[in-house]
Amino acid sequence: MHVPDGFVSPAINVATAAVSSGAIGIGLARARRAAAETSHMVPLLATTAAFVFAAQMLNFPIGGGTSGHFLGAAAAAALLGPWNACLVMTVVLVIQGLFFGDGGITALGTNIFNMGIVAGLGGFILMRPIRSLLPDGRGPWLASAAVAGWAGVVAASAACSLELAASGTAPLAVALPAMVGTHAVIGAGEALITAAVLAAVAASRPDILPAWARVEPRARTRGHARRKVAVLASSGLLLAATLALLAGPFASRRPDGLEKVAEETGFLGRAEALWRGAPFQDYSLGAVGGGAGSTGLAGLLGTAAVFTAGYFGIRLFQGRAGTDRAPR
Amino acid sequence: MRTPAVEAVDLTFSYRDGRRALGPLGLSIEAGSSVCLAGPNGAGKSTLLLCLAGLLKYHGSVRVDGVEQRSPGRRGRDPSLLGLVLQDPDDQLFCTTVEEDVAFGPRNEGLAGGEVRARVEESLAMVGLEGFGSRVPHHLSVGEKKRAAMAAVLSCRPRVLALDEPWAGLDARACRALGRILDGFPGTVIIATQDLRHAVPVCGRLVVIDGGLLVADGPIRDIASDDELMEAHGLRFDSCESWRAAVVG
Amino acid sequence: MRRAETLRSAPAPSARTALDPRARLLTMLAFMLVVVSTPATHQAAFISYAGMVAWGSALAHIPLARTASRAALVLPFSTIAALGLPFAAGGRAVDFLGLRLSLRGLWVLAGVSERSFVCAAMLYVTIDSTGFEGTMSALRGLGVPGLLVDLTSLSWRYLHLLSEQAARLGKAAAARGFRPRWLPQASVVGRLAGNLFVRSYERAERVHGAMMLRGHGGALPPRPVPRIPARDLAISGTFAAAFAAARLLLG
Repeated sequence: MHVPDGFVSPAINVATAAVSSGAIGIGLARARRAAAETSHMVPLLATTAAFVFAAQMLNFPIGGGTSGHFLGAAAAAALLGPWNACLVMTVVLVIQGLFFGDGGITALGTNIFNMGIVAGLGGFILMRPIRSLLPDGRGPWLASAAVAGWAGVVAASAACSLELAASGTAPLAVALPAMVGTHAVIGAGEALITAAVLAAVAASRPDILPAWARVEPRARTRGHARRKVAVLASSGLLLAATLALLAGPFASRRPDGLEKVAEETGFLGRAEALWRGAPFQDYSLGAVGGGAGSTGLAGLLGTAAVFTAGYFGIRLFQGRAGTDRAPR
Repeated sequence: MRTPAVEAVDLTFSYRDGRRALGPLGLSIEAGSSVCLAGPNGAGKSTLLLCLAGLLKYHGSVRVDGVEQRSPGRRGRDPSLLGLVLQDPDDQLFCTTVEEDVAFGPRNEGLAGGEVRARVEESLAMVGLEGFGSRVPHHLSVGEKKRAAMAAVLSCRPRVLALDEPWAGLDARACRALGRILDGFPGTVIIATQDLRHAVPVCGRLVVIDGGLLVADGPIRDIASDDELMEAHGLRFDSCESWRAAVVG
Repeated sequence: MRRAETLRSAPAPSARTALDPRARLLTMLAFMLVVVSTPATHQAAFISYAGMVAWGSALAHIPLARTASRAALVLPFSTIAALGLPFAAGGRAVDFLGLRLSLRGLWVLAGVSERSFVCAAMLYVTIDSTGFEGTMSALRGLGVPGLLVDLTSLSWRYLHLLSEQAARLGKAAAARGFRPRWLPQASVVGRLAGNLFVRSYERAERVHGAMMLRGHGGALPPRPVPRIPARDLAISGTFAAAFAAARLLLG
């Protein structure tokens, strides 16, 4: 998802750079203050960035011979907090951009926005409501971080495709389903790895965990917790469904960038799809009628499938990770 | 009576979970002497050195040159009292170049640029790494890394030099070079090791530690030739003669 | 685009013209800003950009083939633009292997490919000849917050170590028969990563101890930053003007 130079329009790069700078500024100020109390904060941020860099080189199989990569923003956020996670991801992206040719320099603001703010901070924001629904403890911490991991990766890919589309690089009807679709699956890997990372940390260094993750859940809240998990599951599904449906109304929009190229090269086009009658036109389902609705439906079904798989995967993990089992 | 260079009184240290790691023990080291701290793995040698350096919150008292080590004060520890060379040089070489690492201590002291450069050159020369200033730590050999870490500690001009397993992982040539460096050091030397072969030529006094407690303390040759004691505390002293006998038969 | 094989240490700077690293980065930035604002249709401008990069590569004594091959690594990302070729609405179309490709889409593909390639090439030439240290001090001198630069330097120091550890963990797993084939095996990867994180955390604790041992009181000591020589600023400005001229006049 590292966008090189020249893919996203300068205007969008400036906007994302401004937002990213703000987040980095806040993160740095907080880190300076925190370094006074947690004295190993500065080396910790650096070694965590080194960890994320190294971990991003680990690839995991998706199936069919393809593989995905770990992002690490959600894991960093779960372990160090969201603002520190932004700093960590910024350091990683700066190093990758400058010294490994991964991601452009003018696009640095965009990459930090996508993979630091959206994936890290955004994913963490998701942890809060989940945490309030679940009892305190290790299992809920793992589960909420895993969900944040999946959601962060999907949201980052959605943001990336929106930026590309708004820059005229790729039509939204193509980029959004392509990127969000693949990253919904990659996100499942991210969720699994995030949970496994946190579980490994919890096993060998429980003192690193935030206070609320160290608490053992009380047995008598199980019934209450079960209702909460049901609420969580359905609200999460609703959220994912809403995201998928957003693809619908966008499918018919014409990106401005292409219009500009059209004017310059002298082509005056009519709003006419190039390839009528094809089965995959605009990524709609053949059986249902063409148009925005079927795009949304396809996205919806795909999201539901991934969510179901992810949900059971996480419950499986909760059982393995610690003594806290998801209530049956 | 001269102030001992290092004096520990009623020193104890416990881990977070309450397990006692060290002590109670008392130790007095006179200025200019060379002491070997030997013991099996897990005896508490490294923990003791960290307490002497003031990095751990111990109970009791540790004074280096009369200064209590536990509360470093707002400016941080005074590295000119006791310099500790850690077991893993990668922990101590955290800058991008060797020169930056060696300059780290003097810069923290607030020295001017020219004085910092002088200290860097002096320290690199002390360890035989002249010209290594621009080298990247990641590319150095184990021996070079250990010497660079030592230079980084020496640039603070410590009065007491403590080393944790300095010979581990070094080849014979590097071991000899290290012995020469230690011989040349004018202050007090404390070496924690379980490999006594190299300590005997350097240190006059041996302190054996096991299970967090001191079990023996005296001239190194006397204690090291006590086979029962060595065996009981997981130490081994192979003299050249016995090694050669084992090889030749 | 994670490539373990391009992991290398701080590159030994090749021929160093005496240009201040800050001036170099500013020149590179000016070049990139001009390039990314160039529309795809200004092909002559892109040819001149390529020529400038080639000249820069020669100045820095970097073989052109190496620069080109490093820059080519960005090209696979262009497939995201290529995906839109058959679907772009409106305009003329060309026939290619039985597909009707939008000409507008082809221009977009050309544009993003050329922009990213040329920028990547200039980035490689600049950073390779400046080196890691030089780049960090340049960023510090250009006003990037000191803490961020310190974090980047410290992270760089340990990412090679951690990457080697990660590779060793992967090899150890493979030696015990781990062959990743389907998604749930990602949890094994996760356990390795967890192991890696704990190691990195404990490394941070020890590094912190090492810093304390050498008198570190909480903030890394500040580094003095001299002014950019006027000569270097002038040279940088001249280059920037040349880039802008190419952009405005050619097309």
